[in-house]
Amino acid sequence: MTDAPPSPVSQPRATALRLHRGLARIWGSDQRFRGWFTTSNNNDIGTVFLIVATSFFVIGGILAMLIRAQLASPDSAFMEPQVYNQIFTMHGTVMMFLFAIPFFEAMSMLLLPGMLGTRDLAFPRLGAYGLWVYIFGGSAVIIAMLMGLAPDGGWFMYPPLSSAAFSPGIGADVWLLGITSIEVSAIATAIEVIVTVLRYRAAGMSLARMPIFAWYILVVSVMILTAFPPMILGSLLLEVERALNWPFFQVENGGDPCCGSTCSGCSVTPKSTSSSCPPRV
Amino acid sequence: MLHPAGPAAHAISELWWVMLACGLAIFLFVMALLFAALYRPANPSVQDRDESGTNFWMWGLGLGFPVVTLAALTLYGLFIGERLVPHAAHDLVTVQADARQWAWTFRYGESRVNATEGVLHIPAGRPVNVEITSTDVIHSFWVPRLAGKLDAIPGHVNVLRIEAARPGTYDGQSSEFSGRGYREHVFTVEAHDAASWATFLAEGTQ
Repeated sequence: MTDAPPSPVSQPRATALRLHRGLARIWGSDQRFRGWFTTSNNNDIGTVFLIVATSFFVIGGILAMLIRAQLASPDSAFMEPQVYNQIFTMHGTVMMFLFAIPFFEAMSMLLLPGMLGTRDLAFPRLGAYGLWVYIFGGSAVIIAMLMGLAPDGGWFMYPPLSSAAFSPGIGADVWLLGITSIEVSAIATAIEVIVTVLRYRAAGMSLARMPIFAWYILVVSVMILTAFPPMILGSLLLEVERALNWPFFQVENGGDPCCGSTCSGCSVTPKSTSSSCPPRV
Repeated sequence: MLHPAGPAAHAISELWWVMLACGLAIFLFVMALLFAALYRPANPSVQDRDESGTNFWMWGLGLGFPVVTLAALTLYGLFIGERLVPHAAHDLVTVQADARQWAWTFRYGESRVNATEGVLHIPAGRPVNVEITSTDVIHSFWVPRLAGKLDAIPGHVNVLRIEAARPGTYDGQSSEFSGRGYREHVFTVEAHDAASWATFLAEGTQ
C-alpha cells in the first residue's frame, strides 16, 4: 500500500473508495449470513467466541443452581446420586474448559490487535479453526449431557475411576474427545497470541512499552502452550486405554495410575496427586 | 478452633494460624495503602518523576516486599513440612490401610492377619506409620484431627505418620471423589491406652 501512486487532487473520493474496496476484498468478511461461518476477521471471531463462551457460562451457572438445589436440604430426593455426579462433573468441566479459558481467548482476540496497533492477529485462519474446534467440542459435551451420557467421575477425570472398569459407557469417551478438541483450540489460540505479541506490534512499541494486558495474555499463553500438550497426552492415553484396552493405568496389567494423574494435574488442577506419586524406575 | 489432637495436626494448625495472621497483616497493609492513595490530597505541583519514590514503590514494595514475604513463608512451610515426614522413631507402630469402593480395611502386626473393617486401632501417645494403598481407584486417607491427607493409589504404598496424644475416637474420611458411594466412605480411628492396646493385639493374635 505504501508505494501506491499519489492520488490526483480532482478525484480523492473515487481513489479512497477504490482503496477501501481493495482492502475490504482482502480483509473484510462476507456480508451475507454465511459470513459468520467463513470469517477469519479477529473482531467477528472474537465476537462469536465471546457469545458462545457466555452461553456455556449460563449453562454452567444453571448446573451450579441444580447442585445447590440438591444440597439445600439433607437427604434430598431432588436428584439421583448418579445424576448428581454427572451434574457436578459437568459443572466443573463447563466452567473450566468451556467458559474460563475460551472467554480469555475471546477477549484476547478482540482486544489484542487494537492494543498492539496491528490490523489482525498473526494467523486469522488459525483463529477461525480454534473457534470452530471449540464450538464442536463444547457442543458435543453439552449434547451428551442432555442425553444423560455425561461422565460422573469428577471433572479432573483421574484414572482409574475414569477407566472403563469404573466408568463404563460412552460418557467419558465423549468428554475426553470433546475436551481434547477444546484443548487443541486453546493451543491454537495460544500460538496465535504469542506470535502476534512478539512479532506484530506497532513500530516503536517495544516489549517494555506494551500495554500490560498484552503482557498478561502473553504469559498466560506461554503457560497454556507448556501445560496443555501433556494434558492432551493424558487424555489420549486414557482414551486409548478405554477404546483399545491398552493398560496404561491398570496396575494389574503393569500400568500405573500416576501415569495419567500427573498429566492432568499438570495444568488445570492444583491437586497434589502428583506429589503423592513418587517417580518409578 | 481447629482442634488438633496430635503432633502432625498441631504442626498443620500452627501453619494455618501463621498463614492466616500473615495474610491478614498483608491484606490490611495493602488496604491502608489503597485508601491512602484514594484520599491523598491533590497536589499538582509535585512532579511524578521523583526517582527516590520510584525506587521505594517499585523496587522496594513492588518487588522486594513480595519476594521477602513469600520466601519467608515458603521456608516456614518447608520447615513445618519436615516435621510431618515419617522419620525413624522410637516406639514406632506400623499399620496398613487398604481402601476400596467404599470401605477401609486395616491390618496390624508383621503377619497382617489381624484385620479390622472401618475402624483403625492405634495406641495413643506413640507414633504410627499408616501404609496406605488402594485396590481399585484413587482414594485419600484423612483424619483431620490427627494429620493431613495422603492419597491411596493402586500399585503404590504411601506412608503417613499419625499420632494421637490421648486415647479417644477420631473421625476419618476419604477426601478423593470415588464415585457413587463416596459420601459414605468414612472410617473411625480408635486410639487406645497402653493396656487396652495390649488387649487388642492379644485378641487379634488368638
